Amino acid sequence: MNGLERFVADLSVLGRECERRNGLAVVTLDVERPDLVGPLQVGADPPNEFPNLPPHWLHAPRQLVIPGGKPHPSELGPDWLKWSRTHPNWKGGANGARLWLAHARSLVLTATKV
Amino acid sequence: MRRLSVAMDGATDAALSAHLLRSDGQEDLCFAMWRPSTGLTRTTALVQDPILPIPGERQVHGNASFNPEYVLRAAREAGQAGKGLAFAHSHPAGSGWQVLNSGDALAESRIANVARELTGLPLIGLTLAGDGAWSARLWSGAGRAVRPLGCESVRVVGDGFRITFDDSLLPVPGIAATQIRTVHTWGERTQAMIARLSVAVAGAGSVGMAIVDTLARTGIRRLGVLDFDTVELVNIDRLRGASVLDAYVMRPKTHVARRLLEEGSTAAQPSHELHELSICESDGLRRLLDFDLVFSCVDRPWPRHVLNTIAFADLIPVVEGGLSAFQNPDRSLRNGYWSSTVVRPGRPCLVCLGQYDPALVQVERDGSLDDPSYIENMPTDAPLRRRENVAALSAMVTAALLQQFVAFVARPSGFGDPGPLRFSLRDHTIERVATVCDPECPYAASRGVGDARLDPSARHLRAEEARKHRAHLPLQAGIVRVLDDVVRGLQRFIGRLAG
Repeated sequence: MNGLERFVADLSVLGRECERRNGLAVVTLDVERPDLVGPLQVGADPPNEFPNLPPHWLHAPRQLVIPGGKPHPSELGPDWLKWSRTHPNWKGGANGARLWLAHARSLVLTATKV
Repeated sequence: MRRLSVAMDGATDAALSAHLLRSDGQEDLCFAMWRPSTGLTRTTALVQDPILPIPGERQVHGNASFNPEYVLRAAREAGQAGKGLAFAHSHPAGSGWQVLNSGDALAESRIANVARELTGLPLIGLTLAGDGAWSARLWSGAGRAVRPLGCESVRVVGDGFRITFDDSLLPVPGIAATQIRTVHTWGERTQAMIARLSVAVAGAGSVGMAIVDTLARTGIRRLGVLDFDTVELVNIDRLRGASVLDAYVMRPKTHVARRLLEEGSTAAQPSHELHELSICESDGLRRLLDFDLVFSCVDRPWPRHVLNTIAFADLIPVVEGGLSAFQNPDRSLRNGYWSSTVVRPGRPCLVCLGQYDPALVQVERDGSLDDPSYIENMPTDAPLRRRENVAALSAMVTAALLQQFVAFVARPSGFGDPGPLRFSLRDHTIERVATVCDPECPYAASRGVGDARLDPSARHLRAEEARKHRAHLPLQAGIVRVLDDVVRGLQRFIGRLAG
């Protein structure tokens, strides 16, 4: 098993709510930020070779601005934007989902809300 | 008919040899597993996981024989692992490729049906001679119609590259007058081996083109070049064999490579395969799997990822190198580094060596790396933004790759490749890079999986666009190209008259 299927399965094993939508994985994060109440959903595009290769884009709700470059329209719809934020030190292997989760969480924590 | 070959890594070769080449000089036998690696014209059986006999499963009496229980156990284990069955035996008094004798053929034919039925794959028969040379065949057909199909070669990818050829399928080439100096350097035996290797060069840029020229002059008969790109004016300062005219008439780089091969080859009957393909495309990857060894002359993450994948998954060693130059604030040269390695099981993979960032593979795949606005967003010191390249520095990378290649295949005094090396231009030092693969490294873990690898290929829009662009040559440039073809055709004709 690999790719999107593996990504969703690995995140489920880690206790994350994860669903498939428009060929992407939408993951529910619990982010400790006073200005973001409740669970937050983000999206990822795991390639066929996940976990050897990480997802490229982070899809986030439109109200989040992630520092480090401009966003692009998201395949998840007009309420979303996608950001090119690659994992800085991807090692792949069995811990791929955990690595991505930590990366996504750190991006959301540094984001500003508009 | 498909070509067949066998490959194994150094650890498998060592384990099988330790069992089969006995200190008492008697023959012995054992089983192993194998997985297929399917190229466009060649299937390679990747032999792995020896299944050694437990007491009572085989008898040694000068020759060796096995009990049916051993065959069934080995075939079941291979089948449960989703792999094929290989049967290996030794000829301690033999040397070189061993022709299958009638007794051995009968023994293997009796296993062939069981192997196919319990594993779904044909039996691979292997013979190990006393000098460590392997020979192999694949048992095709079923029932009474089973028959051995000859494999053209068996390669061992370990600390150094060892390969044996079936001389009836790949005859030893004669030594031409143009090769005498080469043969004086490393001898006829090494030349006979190197000349019969099938070698691909991925990327015909400044380094790749020089490698192509050198390998052709060395007398390697079967050479492949894969590159989708077009000659441009910015390439002329360092692209061997290319001219301003090539840029004007939009020649593919493989066309220039073909000229170099035709002009420089010293092989008697060269077989050159030029493909206007990226190795990231499915067709390019399948063609790559037909070769024994690949030179990596690419500089982007995705093709490096493809090569990193097949080096481990398909046991095709990849000779790889790279260049980085750094400038002072006044833009003068501060230092330059070039690195080289042979990527293979037992050596670090390109990700663990830091030669490319796996996160950028998908970025390249979705076209972002060809989007100027995306590149502008990258840090100014990002490797993908740097464009440094000088003919003299390219020549140094070329030399570093050829050094790795010669050490790996010619094995001076029995030594193989030195491992990853890094050269510093300013300090004039060579450093051995002590990196090893991360324990979780997925590339190292994929050793020998062959066709079960995660497919690294996909549509390559940049390659498709380059081919499409070349197909729409302006009329004037088209006329010039026809004239150039005529002139070069005449030059070739005159060359043949002289030769």
